[in-house]
Amino acid sequence: MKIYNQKTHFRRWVVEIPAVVALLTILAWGQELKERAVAIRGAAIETISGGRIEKGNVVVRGGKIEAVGAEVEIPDDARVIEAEGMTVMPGIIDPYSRAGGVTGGGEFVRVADQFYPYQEVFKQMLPWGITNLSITPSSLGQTAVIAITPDLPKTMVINKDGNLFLPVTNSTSSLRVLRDGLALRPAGPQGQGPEIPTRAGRGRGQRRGDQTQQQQRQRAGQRAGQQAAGGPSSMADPLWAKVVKGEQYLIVDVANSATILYLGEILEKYPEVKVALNTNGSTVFETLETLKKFKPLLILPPRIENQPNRQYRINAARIAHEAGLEVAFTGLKPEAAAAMPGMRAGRGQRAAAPPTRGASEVNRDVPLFPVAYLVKAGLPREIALLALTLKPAQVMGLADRLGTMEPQKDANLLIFSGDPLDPASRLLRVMVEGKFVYENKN
Amino acid sequence: MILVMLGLAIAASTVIAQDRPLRRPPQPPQTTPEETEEESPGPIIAIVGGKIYTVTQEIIREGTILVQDGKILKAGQDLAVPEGAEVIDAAGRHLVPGFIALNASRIGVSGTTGGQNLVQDALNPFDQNMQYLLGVGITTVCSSTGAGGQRGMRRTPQPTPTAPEGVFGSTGQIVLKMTYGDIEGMFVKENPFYAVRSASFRGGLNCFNWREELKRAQSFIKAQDNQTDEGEGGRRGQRPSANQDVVRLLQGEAVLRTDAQTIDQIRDMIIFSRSYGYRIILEGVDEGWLIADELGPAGVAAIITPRSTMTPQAGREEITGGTMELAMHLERAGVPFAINAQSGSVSLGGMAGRDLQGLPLQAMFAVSGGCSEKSALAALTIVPARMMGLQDRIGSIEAGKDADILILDGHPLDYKTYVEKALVNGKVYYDRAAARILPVFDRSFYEQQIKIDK
Repeated sequence: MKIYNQKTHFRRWVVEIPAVVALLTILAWGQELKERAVAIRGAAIETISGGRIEKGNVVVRGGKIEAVGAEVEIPDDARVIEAEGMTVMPGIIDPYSRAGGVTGGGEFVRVADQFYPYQEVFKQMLPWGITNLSITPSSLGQTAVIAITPDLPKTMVINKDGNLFLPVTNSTSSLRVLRDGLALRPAGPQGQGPEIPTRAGRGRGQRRGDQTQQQQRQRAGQRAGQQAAGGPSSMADPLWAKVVKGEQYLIVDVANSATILYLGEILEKYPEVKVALNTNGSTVFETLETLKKFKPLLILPPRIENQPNRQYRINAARIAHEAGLEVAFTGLKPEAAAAMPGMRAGRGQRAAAPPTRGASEVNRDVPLFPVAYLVKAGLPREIALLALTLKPAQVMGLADRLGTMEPQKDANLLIFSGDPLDPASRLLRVMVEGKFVYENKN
Repeated sequence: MILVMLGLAIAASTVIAQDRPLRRPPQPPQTTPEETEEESPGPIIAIVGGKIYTVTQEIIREGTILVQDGKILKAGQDLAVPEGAEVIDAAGRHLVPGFIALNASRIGVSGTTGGQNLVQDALNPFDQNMQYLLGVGITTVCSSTGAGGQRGMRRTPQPTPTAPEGVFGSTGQIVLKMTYGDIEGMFVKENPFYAVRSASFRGGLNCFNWREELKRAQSFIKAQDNQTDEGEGGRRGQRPSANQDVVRLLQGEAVLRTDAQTIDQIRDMIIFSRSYGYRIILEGVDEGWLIADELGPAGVAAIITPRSTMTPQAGREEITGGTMELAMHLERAGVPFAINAQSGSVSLGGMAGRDLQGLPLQAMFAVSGGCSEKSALAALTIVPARMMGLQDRIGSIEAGKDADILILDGHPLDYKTYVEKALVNGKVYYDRAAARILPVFDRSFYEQQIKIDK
């Protein structure tokens, strides 16, 4: 008995001592965080939610924004960053990213289950000004939202339960996934073939023929159903339910313009459903009338594109905005900026840039150049800034946490040397969750 | 007071008196929109002042076509344009029903088809070829969807033990309207023909197989009739299997479309069709002019290409080979014929597809060969519509039909003529000035130049 007691006694200590130590360190760490604030003083602030503050302070504490405004007092303990003449804006959020190579496979891909944070690509992203990504699978699945904090790989995923994602093409098997999903139809034996206009004037033989057709269609329906929302339907079903109620955006990737017309036909019956459509400018140009009807939020690459089959150039973001559609930008990359016409010459970099520096390296200091191009081509500035920050956050369902410079939001912010949309400005610092993850030393 | 009353009464009576003669003349136009509005509230489009080739009836000079809800409301002379109607001025223009191309390859379809994937879900109305087709006046195409035979859109599996799999399978086709940019109203019909490649009928063995196929279908129909006589509880399991396409063919619900060039090939097809009693549409028919008298009684309809020539067969004593007079001979023998573009698979490589531009040009060749202009125009419109069983919807300008109308800047069979506007289902889907896929210029400019030179 005694021996036994001693043993348990001993065991308890083994557990308790490290636990107490750990608790103390956590408390101390927390205390330290609470004590140490970071203050950015005298900068112009693009708050997104409340317009532009020409000169104000931002106080960050514990990974969150504590205060923003012209009159905000800087706490005594704060580490102050003098930012006179500089501009602070929320970090760029990409609502449709394939970074990290979650390719999926299988019927339903949950990105959070496959995400691998120890990848070079996330470190490379730091100078781009991107602070959050919604990582999208390549087939039917669920997205996950990450913060670009490669130094804290274990906490990179900030929302494991992202949006339902669905790629759609103009084929029956693909459209059926959407039709069945929105109808909350359990896939499988009940899956019926779509209605086909039947021919007039039926004879006996024809009736029989039709019966076999019907059977074929039913079988086909079953097959398609199993491929589609079936399999791990338990994972997709609750997400479809949320989508139908309009609680969550459905992210759709369309293969071509024709698919958008089919989407329009299907979504006509579901006015509650909120769709974020990943597409491109020429598709938007072609299908604008249909888009106006079901009003999806458009996820577009920030670039000037051509009219389909024409050489005329279009600013799709502007066209969409003028048609009353919301826009979010995706795929902002220094490479994209480097490919912009007149980019280097316009900045006078041709002579100044040392030949050893690659184009992407040169241009990463001005990550918003492509967006500035669109603004110059008529896209309203505030819409462009929204499309980089709050709109993507809205798609992810994290508008209460990301996308603006407001108290209690995640301290994900960028400091530019001047106006972020001025090609002469440089991205100087990137802060993610209250910590500077990148500093421009050039 | 009395004076005032009198004055008012007179004034009122004069107003009424003035109103009456004024009101009477516009009464018919006032009542017509009200009546039509009760039936269908859509807006009316009026195409005014053109020369209307109705195809099925006489030509209407300086006529008006009223279009509502995608259908032709009325076509005729002295039609009052209802108030609020959108007016398209077609003065000096020629109005014809949209042309129908029976040979096209995968136009307007981009998704996967076949098996579980339906054509209706695979349409691509942004196919640039559709705009080209409209540019040359084609508003409806019968487009192939697959390679035919074993693959493609075949409905029923082949349960035939003797014939090689898929030999008599129909090549898949769909009838689509060129509603460029719209899915609505694009799909018209699937498999209008039981189309079989001619190779399936060539040679003794294939002919034998075809006869066996027909016999199987006959016994299938017979067993089916017996079964319905005996009631549903009859001998279900013992029903013979047959190609359902052939069954429908023998029951008169489908029509066989295949190509036959020489006299022998044509005669073979006629013999089969007469002895088993089914309808055929023969494509090519280059030597058909030699036996035009046989085609008529056999109920053959032809799809011809007037420009194509066929050299006489070596070693034959009788006259063989093709002629440009084919259309004339068919017309005189009362054989209905449609005109096809030169290339079987319509190539669109060049600007607006030179083959396609040749569709009215092909018809012009038929006219050069002695065919009447009326038949030549019908060969592009109502005849192909009838072949596909769509004569109630397309192929002529008549009240109640789909408003598929071309506004041309010249005679429909003139090589100089361009399509100015093309309406499909009552909507303008092509405007030469806006589409800019064909040259845009004003011909009168050159006429003026000539005058100045003089």
